[in-house]
Amino acid sequence: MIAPSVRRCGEEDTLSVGEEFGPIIDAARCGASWALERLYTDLAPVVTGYARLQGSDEPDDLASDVFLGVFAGLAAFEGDERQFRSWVFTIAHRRLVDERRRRARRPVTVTDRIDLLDRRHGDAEEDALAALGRGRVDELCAQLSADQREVLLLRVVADLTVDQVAEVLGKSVGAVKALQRRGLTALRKKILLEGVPL
Amino acid sequence: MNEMRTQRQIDDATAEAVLRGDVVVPEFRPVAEFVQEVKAAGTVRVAPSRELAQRMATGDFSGIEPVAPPDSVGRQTRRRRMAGMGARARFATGMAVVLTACTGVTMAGAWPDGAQRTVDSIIKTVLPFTADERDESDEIADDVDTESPGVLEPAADPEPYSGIGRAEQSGESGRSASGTSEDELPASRPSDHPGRGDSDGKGSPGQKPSEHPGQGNSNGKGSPGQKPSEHPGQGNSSGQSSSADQTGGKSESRSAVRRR
Repeated sequence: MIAPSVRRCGEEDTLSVGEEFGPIIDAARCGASWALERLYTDLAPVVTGYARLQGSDEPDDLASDVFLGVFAGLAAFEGDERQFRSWVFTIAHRRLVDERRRRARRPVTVTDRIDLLDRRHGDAEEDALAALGRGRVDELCAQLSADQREVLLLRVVADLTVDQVAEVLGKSVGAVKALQRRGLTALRKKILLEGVPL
Repeated sequence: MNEMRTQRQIDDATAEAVLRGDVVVPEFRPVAEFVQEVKAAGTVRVAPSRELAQRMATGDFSGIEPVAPPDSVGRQTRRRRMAGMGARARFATGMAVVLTACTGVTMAGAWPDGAQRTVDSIIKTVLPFTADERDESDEIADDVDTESPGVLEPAADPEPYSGIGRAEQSGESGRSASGTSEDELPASRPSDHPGRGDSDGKGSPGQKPSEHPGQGNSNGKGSPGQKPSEHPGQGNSSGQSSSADQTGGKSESRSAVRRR
């Protein structure tokens, strides 16, 4: 589906559906549950991670909400896997904006990071380490400005190109590049200043 | 100090390398490692909500508002940008769109008669061109030529033109003139107005001097049809082109207006 020349370095692991994307999206349009499941399995973790690092209160619910909208509008979608990915994150971004607006109208007091303790995969030590790692990532990401965080997360977690990020956020390519430069510079500075062990 | 400065700067290429997870210089390794940790945040499997799970199983998404497909995303972005604008900016953008559309319709002559005249007169006052005829731009170009300093020179010494002008009048047409002007004015005019030469039928540069008297005069060669008094009208007396006649008349009146 996608010519190798257009692929970026490290793209193979992110476009997991690959050449099967065409048949899968066709089947998903017809409502085939296996195809819908495949699309969800492929992108839901990334959408959830993006929502969580963006400070969503309920990242899992947000991801489910995103996929409800995506699957409902699948009949009108035309494009390749990369465009599909871009579309999904456009919706995720909008849902996040909606959530922030709702939160601004009805502020919720959060006393503790419940999500750090809420993950249970069977191995307590592994879960604790993973939670600590996530906590550090969350903390550093939260210190970035909203624009810088948005751009960096869409580039890193969602693995979108600069052009796609610009489209999702409604910004110019130059602005996105500037934000990612500033974001990385700020991250580096914070990592060095806080003496985070490397 | 220099070290501090280099620590603060990160260029696009380095940023891309860090984001891709490529090998980077030790200076940027902490950021690159952190980026990989961030990337890992998108690998945790999540279960769908109950509603989504049910709908995925059945393939039925009726009753859910579908999200606009990617094609209309750009339109929505524009709409969002407009929504973010202030009242003045929105008004200015709207006016620009309306004026551009009106100008386009006027240029196409698509208004009803009365409206066309009215709008055209408005546009004439605002823009440096009109919607009357397609050849207007050529006329303006001719007009510029008539105003060149070369126009005034022959008045002091009209002799060289008189005989040649007579030859033109006598029906020898611009061809003889073209020979002269072609030799003497090789490059400039024909390439400037290739369409004009073709529409003359003869396609000879002989028309050129009659249409662009100023140029011939500026050369001081006295080629036929370059005589200011003849102007395009005399060139046309040889029956080569009627459009050139109109052009000449308009350019004369225009140059008169400009002089005023």
